[in-house]
Amino acid sequence: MSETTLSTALPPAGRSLGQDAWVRLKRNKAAVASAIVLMLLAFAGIVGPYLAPHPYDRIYPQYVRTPASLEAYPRKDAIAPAFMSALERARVQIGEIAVSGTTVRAPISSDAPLDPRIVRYVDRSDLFSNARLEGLDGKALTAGATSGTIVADVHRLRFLFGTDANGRDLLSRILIGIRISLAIGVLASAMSLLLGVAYGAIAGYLGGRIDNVMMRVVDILYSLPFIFFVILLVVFFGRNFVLIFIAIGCTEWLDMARIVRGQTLTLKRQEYVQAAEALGVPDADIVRRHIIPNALGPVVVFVTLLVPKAILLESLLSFLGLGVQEPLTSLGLLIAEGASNMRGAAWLLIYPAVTLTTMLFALNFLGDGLRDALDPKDR
Amino acid sequence: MIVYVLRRLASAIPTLFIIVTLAFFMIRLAPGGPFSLERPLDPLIMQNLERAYNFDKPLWQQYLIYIGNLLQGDLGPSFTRRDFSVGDLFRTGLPVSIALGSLAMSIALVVGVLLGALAALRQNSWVDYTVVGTATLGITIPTFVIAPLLSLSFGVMMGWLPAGGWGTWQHMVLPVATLALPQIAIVARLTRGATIEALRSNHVRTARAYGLPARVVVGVHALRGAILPVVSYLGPTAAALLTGSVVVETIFGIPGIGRYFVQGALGRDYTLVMGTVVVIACFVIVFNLIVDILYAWLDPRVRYD
Repeated sequence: MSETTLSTALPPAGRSLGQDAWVRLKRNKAAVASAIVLMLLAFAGIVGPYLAPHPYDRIYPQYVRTPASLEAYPRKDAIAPAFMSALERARVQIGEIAVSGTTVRAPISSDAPLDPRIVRYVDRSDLFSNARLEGLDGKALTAGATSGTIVADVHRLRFLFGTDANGRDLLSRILIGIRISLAIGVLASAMSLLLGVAYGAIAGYLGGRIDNVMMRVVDILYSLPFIFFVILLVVFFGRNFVLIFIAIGCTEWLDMARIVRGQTLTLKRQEYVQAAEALGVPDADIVRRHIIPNALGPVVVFVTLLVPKAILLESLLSFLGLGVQEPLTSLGLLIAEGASNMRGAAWLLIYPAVTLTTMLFALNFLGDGLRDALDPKDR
Repeated sequence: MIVYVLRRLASAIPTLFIIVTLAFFMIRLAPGGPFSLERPLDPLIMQNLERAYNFDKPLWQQYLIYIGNLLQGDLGPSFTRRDFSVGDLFRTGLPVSIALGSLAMSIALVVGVLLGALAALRQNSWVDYTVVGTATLGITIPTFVIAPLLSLSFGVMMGWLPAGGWGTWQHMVLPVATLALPQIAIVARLTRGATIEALRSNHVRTARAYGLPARVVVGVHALRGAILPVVSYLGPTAAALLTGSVVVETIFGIPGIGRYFVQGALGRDYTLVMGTVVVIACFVIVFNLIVDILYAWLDPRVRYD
């Protein structure tokens, strides 16, 4: 007699919609690379401004349009002449100036006793601080001495991406620009997501005459030029950060409403929804378990493609002078400034342009990757 | 066909009327006026100015006056550019914008269709990948990045072409390139997709089965159908290109009409904004009509009766 053995092994684990999409997304190299780039950019935008060596709105009047360089300013060979010219006004004999690290020192002597107040001549310069007189033995100068050493600390500043036409550090400004551009992109998309999903779902769910009226309203809004709308908003409420993403969100929700409405309309008539209805599943559960997860794919894809669109619109507005206001900045504004300064200061255009292009590329590739991963027709 | 065209043109009149009405009242909603300067004008002067331009009348009366003038082809005086009427501004600016726009359009059409068809014929080869990759690049990079970069590299650094300005044909190269590049990319992508589809369709297979030379199969039978989406894309795009681009005109310093809308709206130059709206609307209507006529000519299945 043969024994029947019951299989005790678990059935192969099913993969959910999300896991499936995740696996496919991970296989797409361009999308993964884009996601990494975006994470780096987001990190740079969120944390960067705190780590940056200069505040984004700090003006260094003596460093206007300094080219991008790895070396710190003032350059080593420029320190001694600057120290010399500052010290000359003290009317003392100046020996050889020695620069070491962040301190500069020079032996000085005079016929009369050295006046300790001469250090002010040095402190007055933007480059030097904490000037002090030392005796030849390295200790503080004794009163009445006619010779000693003047020591001062040098401010050495690094401008990796150079400075702009007002003498602000471009790296810090690009970091804050990334933050603003990404924030506007995300917030505007979130806003259009909220508006569009609510509006589209209501229109699609209620159907009939209400649906008709609601979609006619969308059609009418669609035919109004975006720039007209934004200019009106800007002149009504003035230029500010919140307004800009509201304006962009308000103009971009129309597509979302159409997509969600279309999705809701088709999903309502699907067999599995009807089956759930026949089984007596409550309406709320049908919406939660069947309609939303299935409508989510196209919506998520559309949102990822909406973010670069919103960033682009914000940049265009800033470029036209309708965007965020100085000293705050965005990548579009930086590009506009770079374009007007490109003669003789090309780095002002190139760095922001490269940053924005990278960001847009990554977002577009990620959006395409998500579309391929989430599109159920592709299976 | 002529009846159809006439009917379409007749139906354009109410559309235009609604657009003009909407634009008129929307721009008037904005606070401030063309004469609100940083230093307020003398009240007496202000009064005289307002009387001269009918601003003292109620809004609906101003609207009727504007419509009346518009029907006689008078777009009114410009408020921000004194001594110029809006009509004058368009007479000098429009030819410039049209010249740039039509050149960019033609280049985009020819190069885009060629590249797209080539990519479709050599699908999944290096030609295809290069075209698709470059097209993605062209679509992603915004105009306001391309324009200053072109101006910087060819104008300032290499000095081959003027970085900006207007006058000789050299001045047109960079702006036209800026306008054409993204359009080439989009047209190439559209053509590629449509050609791949057309090559698999029945009528092309039939043409091949007849033993027609490949040149005829592709050039006549496949491309004719494949160009349809390009035509419907290029309609509104042509209207946008011919009425000028604010970015290109700002960066290259071109005296076209693309800047007028934004400048007019910011300076509350009511008549200039209205004029721009009217001109753009006319272009959009005309080009949509042209697209529909081309459609009927390209696709015999489309009939307008």
